[in-house]
Amino acid sequence: MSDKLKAQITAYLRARMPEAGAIEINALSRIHGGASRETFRVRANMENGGERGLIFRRDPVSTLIETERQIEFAAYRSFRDSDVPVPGALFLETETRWLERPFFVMEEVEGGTAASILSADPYGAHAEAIGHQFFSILGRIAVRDVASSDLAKHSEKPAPDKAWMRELAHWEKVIDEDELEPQPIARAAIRWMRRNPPPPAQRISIVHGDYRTGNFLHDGQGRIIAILDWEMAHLGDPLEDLAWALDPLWAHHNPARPAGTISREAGIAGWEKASGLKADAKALQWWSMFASLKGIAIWISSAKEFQSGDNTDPVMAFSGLYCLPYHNKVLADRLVALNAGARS
Amino acid sequence: MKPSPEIVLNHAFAKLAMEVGPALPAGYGQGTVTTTAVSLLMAAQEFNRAADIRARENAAMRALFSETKDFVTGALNEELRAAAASKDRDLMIATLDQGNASLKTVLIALQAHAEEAGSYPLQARILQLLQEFATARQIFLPAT
Repeated sequence: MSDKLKAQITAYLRARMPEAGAIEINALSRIHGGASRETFRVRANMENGGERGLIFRRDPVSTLIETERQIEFAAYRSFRDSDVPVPGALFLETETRWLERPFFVMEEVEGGTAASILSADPYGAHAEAIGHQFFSILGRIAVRDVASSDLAKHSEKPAPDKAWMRELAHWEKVIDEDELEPQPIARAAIRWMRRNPPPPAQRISIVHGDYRTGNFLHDGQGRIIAILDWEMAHLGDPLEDLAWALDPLWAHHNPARPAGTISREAGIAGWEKASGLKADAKALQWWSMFASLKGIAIWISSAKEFQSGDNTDPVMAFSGLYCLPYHNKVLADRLVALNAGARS
Repeated sequence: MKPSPEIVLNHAFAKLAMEVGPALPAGYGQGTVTTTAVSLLMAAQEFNRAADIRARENAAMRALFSETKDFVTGALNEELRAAAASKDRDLMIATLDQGNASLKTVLIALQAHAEEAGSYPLQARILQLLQEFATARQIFLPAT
């Protein structure tokens, strides 16, 4: 890692945390993944407080998801001191004088690992325990009070019958702007979703926006210790998160076991129990279509970034080469089934 | 070309994923090398089939347009006729992609028309085509 970055972070921490006394950086390394932000792990020795683990999330030159770091920071803050485990969000810096680009700083959650989506059995003997927590935590996110949350200050609250419309319009626009070639499956799905809107949201909730396997840390002993990657957080229909969590792309090669954990039915039941909400079958069907469409939009954007050379992180290529065809197949299968059902 | 590009890419994948990556300290460098290796594996998979997939899709769409053009009127009829009669200049991937994009634009219009007209057989036919296209374009990765 560059000495320049190390010096910049040292200077920043000394200015931002004068109460810590002298500060030295013991270790600085970049974390792989998270193509929407550059993520750095910092071990800082503080005169008053000893060694401390910090995570710096810096805006990249180009990003997979065009999100405001303020939203992500506010989302983390919305769950501090709650029963949803998140790292502490410490500082948000929108000025570029420190690290050339805006960034925010979080406490490091130590002793955790995140699963790769290509792993066939990411949680081993702990799959059931992880699965129950995974869906239960999502249920608790769904019923977190919105009005008092930090996120409410940065994200517009849609009317319950308009949440789907706003999300669909947003991701359709992404496809319009970023597609490098026509997308007949995505276009057919969008038309179907407009013709068959879901029921109004039961409530407007904080939506994580990317709640899935790989976006949480677990301790290797069956315990989820941190929910990460809130960069697509917003206010909306909580079924959006549930459908995304259930999407087959995140099922570790076995769609019958979402997130590589428990059965789909058990996951939905756990979410309902924790939230007190209902996963209406018709509504969930709509949001499941939406989940795969949103995926397509994200993969299209990443493919465009890589193709243009704006962001040559191989994760962007992977998204376009693997995830985009995967979600196209999921959506095509769903459209065929729906069409057959409509005619029978 | 020997070794074939597919073999070159597969061996490059193996070298990076199984030798270089594990030799690096865990973290950004190792993760980036491994993901790059997987990209090579996917490119290898696409190499052999890329022209075939595109040529088949283009032929299927032209056949569909040829069959349906007489049942559609107006501007879409003209588009269908022109698309049905179009040809790929050569078998370069870029050429096939260009033709594929033009044909898919017409396919989107035809499908929307079928939905508005309530033509279930045509809708089913197009969806079946799209499902076949999506199936053929899937990339398969080994579970780790």
